[in-house]
Amino acid sequence: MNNKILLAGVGGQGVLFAHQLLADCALAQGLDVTGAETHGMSQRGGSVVSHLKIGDGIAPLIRQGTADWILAFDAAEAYRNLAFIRCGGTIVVNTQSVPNNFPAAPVSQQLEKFNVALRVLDADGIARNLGRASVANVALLGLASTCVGFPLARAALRETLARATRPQFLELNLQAFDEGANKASDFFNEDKL
Amino acid sequence: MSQTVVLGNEAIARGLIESGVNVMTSYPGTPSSEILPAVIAWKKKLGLNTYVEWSVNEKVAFEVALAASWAGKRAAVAMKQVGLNVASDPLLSAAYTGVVGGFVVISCDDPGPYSSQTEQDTRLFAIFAKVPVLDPATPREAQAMVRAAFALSEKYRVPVILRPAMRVAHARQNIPLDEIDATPRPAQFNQDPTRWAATPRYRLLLHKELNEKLGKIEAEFERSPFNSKLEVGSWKLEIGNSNATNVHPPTFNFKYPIGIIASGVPSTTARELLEEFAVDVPVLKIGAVYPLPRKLVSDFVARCEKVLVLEEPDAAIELQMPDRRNVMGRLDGTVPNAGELSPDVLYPLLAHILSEAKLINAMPPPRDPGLGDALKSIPLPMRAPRLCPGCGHRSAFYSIRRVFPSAFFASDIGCYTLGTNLRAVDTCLDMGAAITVATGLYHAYRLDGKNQSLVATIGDSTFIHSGITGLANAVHTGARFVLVILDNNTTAMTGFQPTANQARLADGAAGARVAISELVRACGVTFLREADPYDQADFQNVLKQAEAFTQAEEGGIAVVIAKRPCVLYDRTPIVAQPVPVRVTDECDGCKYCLVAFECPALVMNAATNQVEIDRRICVDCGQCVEACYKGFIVEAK
Ligand code: SF4
Ligand code: SF4
Repeated sequence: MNNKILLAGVGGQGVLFAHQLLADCALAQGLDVTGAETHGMSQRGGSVVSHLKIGDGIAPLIRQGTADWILAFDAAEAYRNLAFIRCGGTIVVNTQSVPNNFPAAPVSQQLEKFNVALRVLDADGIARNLGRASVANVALLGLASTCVGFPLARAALRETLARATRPQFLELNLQAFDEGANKASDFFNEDKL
Repeated sequence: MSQTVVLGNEAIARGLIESGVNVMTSYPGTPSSEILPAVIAWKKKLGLNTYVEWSVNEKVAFEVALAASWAGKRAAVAMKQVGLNVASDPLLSAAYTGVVGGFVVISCDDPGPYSSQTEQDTRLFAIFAKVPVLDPATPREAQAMVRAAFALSEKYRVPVILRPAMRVAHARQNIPLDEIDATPRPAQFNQDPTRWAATPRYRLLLHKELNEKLGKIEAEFERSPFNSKLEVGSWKLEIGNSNATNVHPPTFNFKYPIGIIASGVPSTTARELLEEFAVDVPVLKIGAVYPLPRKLVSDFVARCEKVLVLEEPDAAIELQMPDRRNVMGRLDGTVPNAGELSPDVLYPLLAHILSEAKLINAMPPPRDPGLGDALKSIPLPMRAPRLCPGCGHRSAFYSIRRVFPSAFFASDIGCYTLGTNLRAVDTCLDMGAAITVATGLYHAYRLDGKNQSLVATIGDSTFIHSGITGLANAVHTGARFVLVILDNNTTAMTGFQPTANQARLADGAAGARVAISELVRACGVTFLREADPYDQADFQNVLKQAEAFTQAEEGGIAVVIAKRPCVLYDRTPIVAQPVPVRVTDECDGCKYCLVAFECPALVMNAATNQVEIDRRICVDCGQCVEACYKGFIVEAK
């Protein structure tokens, strides 16, 4: 079961935390992980991209057009990295815009042509309602874990999250994760896979 | 055996701990900065008796660790590749003197480059210095190579370089947690002046001795587990696996149309791509790069019609190959001679070579350009790096621009290089060069009888790293300029390592504070003021006095220490005294504040054509009030 996952966002959104969570969860399932992160200037509000290969990979980077998944914590960063998705891949995006407003029309036509499935979630909204902006990344992971073919099961990822979170934020993180995951039903009929 | 998912640098740290490293020094620099902190974390967790330090620069770090090795301890030093330039003096000499306890030099390269001033190749430096170098392809291999490097260093008594590229240092992979070497290594320095204080006569002998060692090491590298022949169909073999089979080709005279020699990250990328192309191409993976096992390489080349060499960032293997007639690589232009060999670069390159050799039928069709074209129609925000909201450097640069409208601005390496965004940085050469560049510019203009206004800016850590010598030189030669030392109380850019200006050591223990102000005075500077750049009126006043001093008859260099802690590192001053601001209705959208102050929290609302404050990232520093000269940014009472 080999999966290539590209995570994209902006410094401060917890992209690297999400990466580590997925990697830890995969290892707990006995799967090897390889990947690459961007550091350095990224802390200063720049784009952050990280590449994660679960299964057989040995090289750190994903080639354009071959990612099975893009998890984008920011809509602009989703656009910026869209070229990585493979035909038939899935994109999970955090966006405040009204669902169906992402992606813009010319792009969505192309994605349809490539048979790419799309999941949008107002993860920032979920996080805001919970009173902690920084859990948006966890909400998005929640949704991702419910997507058809996602390499890590919802329960397993939730368990890894519970282990990785400090006790005082545990409840909040699990709530964000569940709210993201529960949004999956919204997509039930739209599934393009 | 238990496994854990870690960053490449953390895998290296684990390798150091497993090797029983006794002394570890470093100077921070991306992409090497996480190694020492990870060693410290293990030291604390396991209660190890390890000495660690953030040294004031790479040369110092190198020498401290080297001397510990002379005393019989296992020692390591870590830095980024340009740091090795700073440490090159002791490196070249240490190759001759040799070592006693294992001594491993970790120098992280930055193909790209992503956060460095050059794409230089540490492996070429190793060849120049005559020091063996190992080139890991993955974090797992890096961890194993650290242990091998210590053994090699102790066996032949030479320093050994480990050269992880950024995509290894910042790769993330699961690694095994192996056993920890607990061999006691008591300090015992054996006085031997003919070695440790060798005069040129003895240096010749040491040089010959080094050459002999290198010959033996090359022979050892012929059989190194890090140099493995991966025959057709075996690319999936775990990297670093010494059981790589050496299956002989079907017939005696058979030659593969194409063979690949690769090291480091490109070796992993190439293997994944070969799998994708599903072609029969043998790979010789070289992990021990210098001295190159020439027999192994020649034998491989002899069995192929053509050989492609893939390595980063330069041509260390290729340059060492005795016969390059059938070799394609960087030297003949097949492989680009700048930039990272990402899979997006290697894919078309390999496809072309494989189709020329008729190993694949045709070039794979290019991807449908529709998506790329559609994406072009979407405007994306520029996310160029910027100083953080509330960064004291921004306030300092803003004031500098106000007081010195026509100065040249020599600057240096750190977050504050981003002062380019405020047009307050004209030069950035290397660590410490703000002061020497200002000195050179001063003397150049003075030759013409011109009085050019000059401002140099340098950070606290960079000043201690290598600004001091430049300052002593500038005072001594009578140069005149204003030097602003941006003291934010930490090494911010690389992750908040303490500087010698603080009383905190690498592992949190108490150390002695070496005050920057005292260092400045000791260089002979007579004009020295400290000021808080947040108090912009006062700060600008001090800058004006400083300028006057550089012009006065008895004047000279004027030094201003701008003291304001990094907002990312220490929020306490802002939390204690928040100054929330708002933009009034009168804002006419002139964008002056956006250009001149460029705080990321100041954003244009396209709908209202007025500036507004992005509350998610504004830190309530109140500094932008100054930046609207019309008075439309005000304190929110
Ligand atoms: S990390 Fe600190 S010094 Fe660097 S830009 Fe941010 S506030 Fe300024
Ligand atoms: S108060 Fe002004 S300068 Fe300070 S962070 Fe907020 S917007 Fe930026």
